Amino acid sequence: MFYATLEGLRRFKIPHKFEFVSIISLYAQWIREGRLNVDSSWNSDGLKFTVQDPCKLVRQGLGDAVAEDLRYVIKKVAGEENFIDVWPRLSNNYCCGGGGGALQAGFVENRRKYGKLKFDQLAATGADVVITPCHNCHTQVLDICDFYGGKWKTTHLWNWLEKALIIDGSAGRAGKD
Amino acid sequence: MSTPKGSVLIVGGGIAGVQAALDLADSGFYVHLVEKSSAIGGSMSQLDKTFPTNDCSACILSPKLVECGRHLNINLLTLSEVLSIEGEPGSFRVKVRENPRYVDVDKCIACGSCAEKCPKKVPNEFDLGLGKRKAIYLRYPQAVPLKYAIDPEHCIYLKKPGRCGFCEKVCPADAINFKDTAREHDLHVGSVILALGFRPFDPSRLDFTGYGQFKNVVTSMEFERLLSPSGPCLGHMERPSDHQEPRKIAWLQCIGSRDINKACHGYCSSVCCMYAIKQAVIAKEHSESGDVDATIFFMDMRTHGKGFEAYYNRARDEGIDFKRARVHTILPAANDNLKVRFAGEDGKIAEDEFDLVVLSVGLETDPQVMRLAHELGIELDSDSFAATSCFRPVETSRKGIFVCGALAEPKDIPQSVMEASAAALEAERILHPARWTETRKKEFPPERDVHAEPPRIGVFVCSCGINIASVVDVQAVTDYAWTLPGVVFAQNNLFTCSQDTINQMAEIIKRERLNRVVVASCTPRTHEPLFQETLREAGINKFLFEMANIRDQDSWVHQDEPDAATLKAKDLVRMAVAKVRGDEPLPYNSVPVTKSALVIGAGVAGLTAALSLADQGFPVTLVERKDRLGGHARKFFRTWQGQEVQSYLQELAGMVEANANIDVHLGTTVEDVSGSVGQFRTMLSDGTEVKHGAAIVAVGAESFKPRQGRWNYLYGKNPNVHTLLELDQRFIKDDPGLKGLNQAVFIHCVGSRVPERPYCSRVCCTHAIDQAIHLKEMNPDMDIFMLYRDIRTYGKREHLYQKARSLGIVFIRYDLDNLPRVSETSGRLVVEVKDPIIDAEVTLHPDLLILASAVRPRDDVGELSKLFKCAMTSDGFLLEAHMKLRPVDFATDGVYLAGLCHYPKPVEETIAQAKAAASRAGLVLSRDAVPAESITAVVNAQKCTGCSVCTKVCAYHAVNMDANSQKAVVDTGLCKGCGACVAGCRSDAITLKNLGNEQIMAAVEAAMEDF
Repeated sequence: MFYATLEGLRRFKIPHKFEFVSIISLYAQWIREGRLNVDSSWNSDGLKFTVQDPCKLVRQGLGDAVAEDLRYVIKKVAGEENFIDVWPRLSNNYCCGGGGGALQAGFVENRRKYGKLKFDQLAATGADVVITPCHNCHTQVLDICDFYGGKWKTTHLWNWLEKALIIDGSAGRAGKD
Repeated sequence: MSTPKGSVLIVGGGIAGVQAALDLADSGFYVHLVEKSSAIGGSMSQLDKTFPTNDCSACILSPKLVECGRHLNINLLTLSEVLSIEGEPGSFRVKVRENPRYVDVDKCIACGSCAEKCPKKVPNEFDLGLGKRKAIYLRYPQAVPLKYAIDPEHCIYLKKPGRCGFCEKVCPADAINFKDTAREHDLHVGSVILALGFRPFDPSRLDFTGYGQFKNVVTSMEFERLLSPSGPCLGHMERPSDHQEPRKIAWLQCIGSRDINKACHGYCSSVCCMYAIKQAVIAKEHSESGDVDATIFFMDMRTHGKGFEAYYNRARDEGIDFKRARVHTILPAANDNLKVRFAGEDGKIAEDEFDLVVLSVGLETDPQVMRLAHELGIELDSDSFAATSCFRPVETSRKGIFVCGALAEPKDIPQSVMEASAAALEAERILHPARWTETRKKEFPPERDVHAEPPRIGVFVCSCGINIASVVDVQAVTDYAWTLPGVVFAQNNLFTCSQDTINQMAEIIKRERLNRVVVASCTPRTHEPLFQETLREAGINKFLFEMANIRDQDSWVHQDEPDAATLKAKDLVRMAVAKVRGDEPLPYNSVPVTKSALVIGAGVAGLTAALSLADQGFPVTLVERKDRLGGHARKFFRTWQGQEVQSYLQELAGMVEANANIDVHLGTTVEDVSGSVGQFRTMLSDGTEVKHGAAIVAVGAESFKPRQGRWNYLYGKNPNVHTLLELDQRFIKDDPGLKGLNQAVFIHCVGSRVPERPYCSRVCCTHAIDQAIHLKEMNPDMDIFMLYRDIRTYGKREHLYQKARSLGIVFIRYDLDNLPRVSETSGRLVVEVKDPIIDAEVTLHPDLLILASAVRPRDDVGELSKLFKCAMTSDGFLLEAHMKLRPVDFATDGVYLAGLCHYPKPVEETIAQAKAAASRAGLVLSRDAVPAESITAVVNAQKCTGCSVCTKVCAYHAVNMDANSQKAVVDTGLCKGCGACVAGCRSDAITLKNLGNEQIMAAVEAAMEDF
């Protein structure tokens, strides 16, 4: 939806008065502004995090800025030292191999073969958690992890954001008075 | 316009600016050369070797820089920038700001004590930050001017006065001036030349390369410094991560070029293919292990210049691996190595690991230069290069302001040098009435006749600050000099080259009535002319001088053995004294100049050259073998920029015919040539004898017509098979037969890049693609297929290639093992070719088959080259004096070349080269007399046996047999003093003046003397 609308407006030069923002960039903005307070102290075990840059969101969508925001939020949530980046990264990151209908269309063997590169890349980081902000990537990364015997957990960002959230009653909740 | 100013401003002190400055200053104009850094030399001074000759860049550049630095009529303004230019052609007011150097250039003797003591280390921008320099620094060892400068950004004293100031304390010449301030100069000049060059593309914005993230990914410019003996690892090739020698190196082409995605540079940078091959070849040579694997990843190998294809072929034979792929990912691997992922030609993903990755970065315009261009009102094109047109290749959008070098389009050194001379010519064209009005001339007193005097030798031993004195016992050497026969004076100086010592030396020569002088100091390379001039100022002949090199070849190389170094210094002084004792005064030879030119060939090159000279008032004889003007260009439809050639040609020919200074001889050839620079006499086939001071050879070339053999492709057999020029003629006539065609096929490299003609014809890719576009525009539904080997649309021509692809023209690559096959079935053409991308045979049925056939040298060019004593390449083109830095001169003085007889080239390059040739010829024609070599060969007729070996070994045809006496005679006007005849003579009958047996043996015997 997000990418299709964005690209449609861009390609056909349709005038519009709104802008496209990912919730990730808003998290990052709110954390920077101090409106969303997070603390990585929950991660006393030092769980290591890495990341998947979804093609539609980053390379084809909003560019490297959103991917940098994603890393910023993860580092805030899990601790600076607990983030291990992949290579190649940002716009140059590998495709998960599950897009273009591959997850739905039934070519399982092919899809997993494409996903091997992604698996090797993620496994090389040694991370315990892979953050995938795209539902499609999530399903694929989950599947290749399982299929090729990976050890990591595949999750969205908010699962961990919620762990790190500090709700300070005196400041009130974000967005409310 | 009232009388123009006789001076020119040149902005940019790289090779292009330097060449333009020398051309102008040597032909009667005063030059202000503005350079923003502390020394001239530009990007070329940073290079290790240069292609395709593998010449050391610094070695061939330095003499030009030194000449520029010493030139009486070149005002060098370093650390300077242009603030504004107002006015019009003939009279511009220029404001220049000269930033403070904080070092007095008149006092600094470049001893280096200051930099040694300076505590502040900063990244050295000359080494692109790979090495360190001090806050007080010399830009590079051969810098001109050879003067230190303080970097105010980093100097501790300038940032906090009162702190540091070590340099001031240690400077033996009292040259440090912390109070130095910026100065503004108001210059009044007649014309301006912009030679602002380029900057290497910064690949950190191409994140997939890992540049800036992985230590062992470097740019090509950084790699030049890693190879260079003056670079951060002193010429021992090392990779940055561990300072080990890399064993496996990859070059990635087109980084920042031919990339309309992230780099946003659609153009081709023209030079990177060749420099990458050069670097790979040199890396193999440099490697101590002798075991370097070199791989070059490329899209199209663009070796389109003179000698380039042969260089490419040789590199392949030497085992350099050329992989046709654009690398998309670089991954870190163990040991700081790099894993390179790419799609091979078969479409399969492949991986390879390297110790070092070199990014062949393109050329782009510096944003500061863009701003300056904007402020000066100079139009830039869509690629941010100075906008020019094919017919006016060095003119900017502002009248009277010219451009040369990479500022106008990425280009190599010879092309930049050519344009520099062409830009100089354009300035001369405006300013010629003011020639010699602002120049200065050095006047010397009459020389004392020393013939009858016994030798009175003076020896000056230099300490060079501590450069010599810290190793060599200079006092001992001076004392020793007093003991040598003939020496009547000896003295030790702290700095012999400083202005006060020079003045003192002249006084001593007069007072002591010295008639021979020896200076024991640094090197004759930079200082011999200075000391020789001092002799002339003191009224003695400058050839009564010898130099003993006790710094570069003694104190600097024997630092750890002071005693032995002192002994060696004594040896060198003794030898110099022995030699100078036998030296004789030599004449300052010169040849009077006939101030007119002969131009051979009336194509675009010849017409342009003739007009360029005639416009300056020089009479020109223009000789053309055909019965009309225009040459090859009469067959051309349009330039790659879309300008029609025929209307331009008519205008050009009309101007030549109307010019009273040009005497046109049609249907005429050159029969015989005698004489030499300044005084040629040429016999024409129509019986005319022409006396001229200079000659320009612009005899063109021919197009290869594949009437038979392997490259025939039914040419001459099927009426629908044409060469490019034949199709152009149909375009010129607007042939209706070209409308409504369904399919056309172009075959590239027909007769080029093949064993019998191994060079690339340079023009055909662009020409063919432009024709395909024209056909497609005439018939939008037409299918067009280009069968090519490498597309070589260099520079901005790459945009045409992109346009062709976007129009749907199909490009199919073939190679020599898999040639296209052309046949016909009932008159219809059939072309079969294998498409490597889809891995399948393709059969085409074109209505039109166009052969992009080679440009080949004329068969009779050899005869002409013999008449003018010029050399030829193995391909049959005429050979210039130096491929890199003298691209329009012949080794024979006073003879120049332009156009296709030099190498295949498009019309814009032909025009630039013709103008360059005219500029070079102007150096001769603008003078009443040209200097000739003083150290020439002399024949002892008593000893000469008339064997004539000397006439055969002389490269300059300066030795001939006298018809009557059958003895050798030397034409001193032609003799270069190389000594080949001396070595060749079996009767000991020829000697070189002041380098005869007498002098050489005296020096040798002195060397052997046991003392």
